[in-house]
Amino acid sequence: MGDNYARGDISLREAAEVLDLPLREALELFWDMGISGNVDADKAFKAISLAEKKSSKTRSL
Amino acid sequence: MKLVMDSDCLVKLAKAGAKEAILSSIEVSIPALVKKETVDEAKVKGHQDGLIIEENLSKKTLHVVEAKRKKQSLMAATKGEEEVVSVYLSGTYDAVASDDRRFLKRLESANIPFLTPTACLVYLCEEGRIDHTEEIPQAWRGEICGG
Repeated sequence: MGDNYARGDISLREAAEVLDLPLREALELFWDMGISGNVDADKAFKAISLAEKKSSKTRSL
Repeated sequence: MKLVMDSDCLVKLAKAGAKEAILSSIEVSIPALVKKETVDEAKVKGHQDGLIIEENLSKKTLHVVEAKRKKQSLMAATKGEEEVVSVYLSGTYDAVASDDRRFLKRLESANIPFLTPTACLVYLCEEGRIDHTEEIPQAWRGEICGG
C-alpha cells in the first residue's frame, strides 16, 4: 500500500480507506515508513509556477 | 489569494511550523470533512496539530465552508476530494492546495489550478511575507528561496 501511495497510484484517502484507518493515521503510518510525500517534479513545478503567477509582486513586474 | 486546502497539505504545513505564516497571508477555507480529519480525528489520537488547527478555526484565520454541491461529475474522486472540489467550485477561489499526487492529477484533468505546500511557501516568499532564513522549514529552504 505504501508503494502504491508513494508512486501516486492511489491517493492518501484511498490508501486510508483500504487500510481502514482515519486519513490522519494513514499519513502518520506513511511518515513512519519514510514516505513523506508523493508529489512528482512535474506537479511541483506547475504548482510553483502558479504561485509565482499569483504573486502580486511578480504580476507587477 | 484564496485557497481551498486539503487535509494532507494543512497537516504538513502545521507540522512544519509554516501554517501561521500561510494563514496570515492567504485566505484558506476547508470543507467540513477536512476539519473532521485534521481536528476531530487528530485530537482523538492526541496529535498536537489538531489543537493548533482548531485554534485557527476559533480565531477565524481558517474557515470551514460547507460543500454545497452534492454531486459533481468533473472527476472521479473520494468523498473528501469531492468536498474540496465542491467548495472550490462554489466560491471564488484561486486554487486547491494539496500534497497528494493522485488528487493533483485529478485536479489537473479537471483544469482546476492547484498548489502544493511548497508552492504556498513560494507564494509567501515572492510576496516578501516571510523571512526565508527563519520561517521556512530547513528541508524546504534551498528548494524555495535558493538557500
